[in-house]
Amino acid sequence: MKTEDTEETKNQPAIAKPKVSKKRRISIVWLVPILGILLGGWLLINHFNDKGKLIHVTFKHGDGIVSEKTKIRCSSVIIGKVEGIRLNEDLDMIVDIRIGKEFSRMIDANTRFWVVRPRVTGAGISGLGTILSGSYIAIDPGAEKGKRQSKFIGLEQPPVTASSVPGLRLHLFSSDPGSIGIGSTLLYQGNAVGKIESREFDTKERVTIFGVFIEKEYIELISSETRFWRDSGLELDVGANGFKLDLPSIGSLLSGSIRVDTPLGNDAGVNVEDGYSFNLYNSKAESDASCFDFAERFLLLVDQSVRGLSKSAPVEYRGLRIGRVSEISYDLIKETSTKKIPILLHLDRGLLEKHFPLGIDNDDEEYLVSATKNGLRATLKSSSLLTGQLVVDLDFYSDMESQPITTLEGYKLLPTVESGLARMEDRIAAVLNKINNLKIEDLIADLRVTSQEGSAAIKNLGTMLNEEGGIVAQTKDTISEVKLTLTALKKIIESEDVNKIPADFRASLKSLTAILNDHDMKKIPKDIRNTLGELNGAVKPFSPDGNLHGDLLRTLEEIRSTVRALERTAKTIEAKPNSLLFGKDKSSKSAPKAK
Amino acid sequence: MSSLSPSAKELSMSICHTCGRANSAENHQCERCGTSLHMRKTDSVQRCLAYSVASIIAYIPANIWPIMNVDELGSISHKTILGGVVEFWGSGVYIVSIIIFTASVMIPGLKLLSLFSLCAVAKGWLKIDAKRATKLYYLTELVGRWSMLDVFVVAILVGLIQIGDLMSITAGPAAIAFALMVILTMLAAHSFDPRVIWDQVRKNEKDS
Repeated sequence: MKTEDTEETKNQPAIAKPKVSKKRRISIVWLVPILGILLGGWLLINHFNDKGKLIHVTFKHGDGIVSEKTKIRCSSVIIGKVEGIRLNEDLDMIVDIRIGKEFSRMIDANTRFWVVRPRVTGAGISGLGTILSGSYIAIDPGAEKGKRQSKFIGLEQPPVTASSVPGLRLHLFSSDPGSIGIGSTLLYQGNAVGKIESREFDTKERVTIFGVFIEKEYIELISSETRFWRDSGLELDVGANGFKLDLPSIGSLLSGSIRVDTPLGNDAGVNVEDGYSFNLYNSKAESDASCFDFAERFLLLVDQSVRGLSKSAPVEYRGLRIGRVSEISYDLIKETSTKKIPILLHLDRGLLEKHFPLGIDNDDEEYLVSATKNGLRATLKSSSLLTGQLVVDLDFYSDMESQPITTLEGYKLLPTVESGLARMEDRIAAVLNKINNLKIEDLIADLRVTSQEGSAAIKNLGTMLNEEGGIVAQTKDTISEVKLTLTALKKIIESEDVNKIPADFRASLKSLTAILNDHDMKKIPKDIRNTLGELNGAVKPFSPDGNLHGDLLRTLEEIRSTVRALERTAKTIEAKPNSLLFGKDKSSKSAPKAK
Repeated sequence: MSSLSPSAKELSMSICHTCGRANSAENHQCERCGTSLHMRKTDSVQRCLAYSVASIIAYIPANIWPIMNVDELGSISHKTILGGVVEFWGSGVYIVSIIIFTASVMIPGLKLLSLFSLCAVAKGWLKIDAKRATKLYYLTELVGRWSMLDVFVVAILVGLIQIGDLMSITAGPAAIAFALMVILTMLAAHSFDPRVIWDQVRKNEKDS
C-alpha cells in the first residue's frame, strides 16, 4: 500500500515540494554543556565552601603525623585532616590542618592540640589504638570562647583532662618536686581528688610549676587554707615501738602522689577559683610548719638579740598564728647605720583581714595601719623557756603612743616594742638601781642607834617599874598627910577659936563638916586607896617576878635578833644584789665548810 | 579532488537512516519504512560541539577528583587517575602505568581534540584533507567505547574488595565524572555527520 502511495506521489509532481529546512538555529543540545557548567560551578563553589578552615599548628615532636592522612579528632570524632607538613627555621614541625567547615567554630585561641600516640607513663598506658591506625592529632576546644586565630602551638604532652571537664584548676609551686609528674594523683585522705595536668620549670624563678586539676565533686575540699605536700612514698619510722614501715600503693610509689589536706583548727578559709596558686611542701612536717607565701610583707627592726628566732618561726597575734618569719638578715636593708636587726615577716592576708579588717571601720588602704595607731606593736616573745625559741608576737600595748607604719626601702616597717622579758629585765635593773642607791649602811647605823636607844628606854622603863614601890609609898604618905590635914582641920573646927567665928560662918563650917562627914565624902579616901591598890595590881606584872616582865624581855630579845638578821640581809644584798630575786646562792652555803 | 560526481544532496536524494533506501529529497518520509528523512544529521556540528564542551567540563573533575577511596586499616587514601599513573610508574609497573594513562587520560583527551578539529573542518575553519578527516572520525567512534575501561576497573574493584576494616574500596566522585565524560564524547561522536566534511569540500570547490 505504501509503495503504491509513493508511486502515486511520484507521478503527481503537483504535490507540494517538501520543505528543505536550511534555517540556522541553535540546537537544544547546547543545554547540555550549560548544564554541565552550572553543575560544575556549583560543585566548585560547594567545594570551596566546604573546605573549612586552614590552621597551622607547630609541634616540637610530631612523630607519626602524615600529610593527607593524619586526622584531627575531637572526642574521637574526625573534624579535620592534615594537609601538609613543613619545617620552620627552628626545625619545628608546622602542620597545616584543614578543619571541617562545621567544626571550624570550635577552633579559637583556647583550643589545645596534641598528638595522640601510644604512651606508657606511671599513670597508665594510653593511645594503644593508634598503634594500628597511626597517630592522630586531638584537640580540646577549650571551655570558653576565645579569639579566632589560625596559628597554634601544639602541646607536647596530652592534657590529662579536657578543659571542658568541670573542675578546679590550680597551680602548685615547688622547689623540689621529686618524681611528681603529669598524671600524678592528688590524695585527700587516700582518695584521689585530682591529677597533675602539667609540669613546667620556670628557669627564672627556679621553681617547678604544676598545673593541678581537682575534680568537680571535690572542689569544696579545697580552700585557701588547704595544704599540699609531696607524699614521700616509702616511709620508715624507727621509734620506741620498733619499726614502722609505711608503704603506699604501687601506683603512687611509681608516679608519686601529692597529699591534700585542710589542717584542722584553721578555719575553712575562702573558696578558691581557677588559677589559684599553692605551695607544694616536701613533707607533712614542712606543710604543718606552713608558709604564708601569698602574704603581706612587713619589716621589723629589732634592737635585741634574735637568738632563738629562726626562719619560718611563727608570727602570732595574741597567740593566734597569722604568719611567719621569712628572713632575718642585714641584707634586707641597705642602710647599715642602725644596729637594729631587720626581720622580714610574711603575714597571711586572709588572717590579717580577719583580725584587722580593711575598710570596715576605717578607711585604711593597708593592713595594720589603724592598729598600729592604736598601739599594736611587735615583740619577740619566748615561746618555750626550755629551748629559748622565740616567736614574733603582735599585741596592743595601751601605754604606747600612736605610731604609724612607715616604709623603709620598700618595706612596710612595723613598730616594735621590746619583748616582755627584756622589759622585765629593765624593770628589775631599775629596782636594783634604786636599792643600790638606798645607802643601806647609814640606814643600818641609824637602825642600830635606834635599837640601842630603844633598849635603853626599855631598861629605864624597867628601873622605873622597879622603883614603883616608892611611888606607891609616896602615894600612901600623901594620903596619910591628907588624913593628918583633915584631922588638923577637924581640930581647928572643933577648937574654940572657931566658935568665935560668927555663927553664920560656924553654920557654914558646920555644913562643911556635915559635908565632910558625908557618907560619900568619907568614901573618897577609900576610893583613892582602891585606885592605888588597882594601880599597884596593874603594875605588878611588870615587876621582875611578874609574868609580863618575861614577855617584854623576850620581845626585846626578838627585836634584837631581827635587827641582826636585817643587818645580815643588807650585807648579802650589798654583795649580791640579784639574790633579792634568786635567793641565796646555795653553793655559797656549803663553800665555807672546812675540813 | 577537482571533480567529484554530484552528491546525493545535489541530486536531491536522501538516505533513510533506518533502512538505507535512497529516497528522493522531495519525500518527507522514507518510501520503504516511513522514517522521517533528513539530508544530514540535525545540527550535526552544533550538537557535536555542545557535547564536546560538556565533555571537557566533565573531564576536569574526572582528573582532579579521586576516582577511588581506598580504606586500608582505617586510613583512607584517595586515588586520582593521574595519581594512580604516577604511583604505578613509581613502583616500576610501567606497562600498567602506560595503559592507564593511555586509556584514561590520553585517549579521551585526543578524542575531544579530534572532535573539535572535525567540527572545525566541517565549518571550514580548519583545512584538513577530507579523507583523513573522515578516517579520524571513524577512529574516534571506534576508540570511544574503550574509554570506559577506567569506569569498569573501578566498578570491579569496588565490588571485589570489601574486606571490612582491613581494606575496602569505594568509588570516588571522579568515577561518575569520568563516566559522564565518556558518554558525552560518545554522544558527540555519534551526533557528528561526516558527510558535512565533504559538503565543505564541495563548497570550497564551488567558491574557487
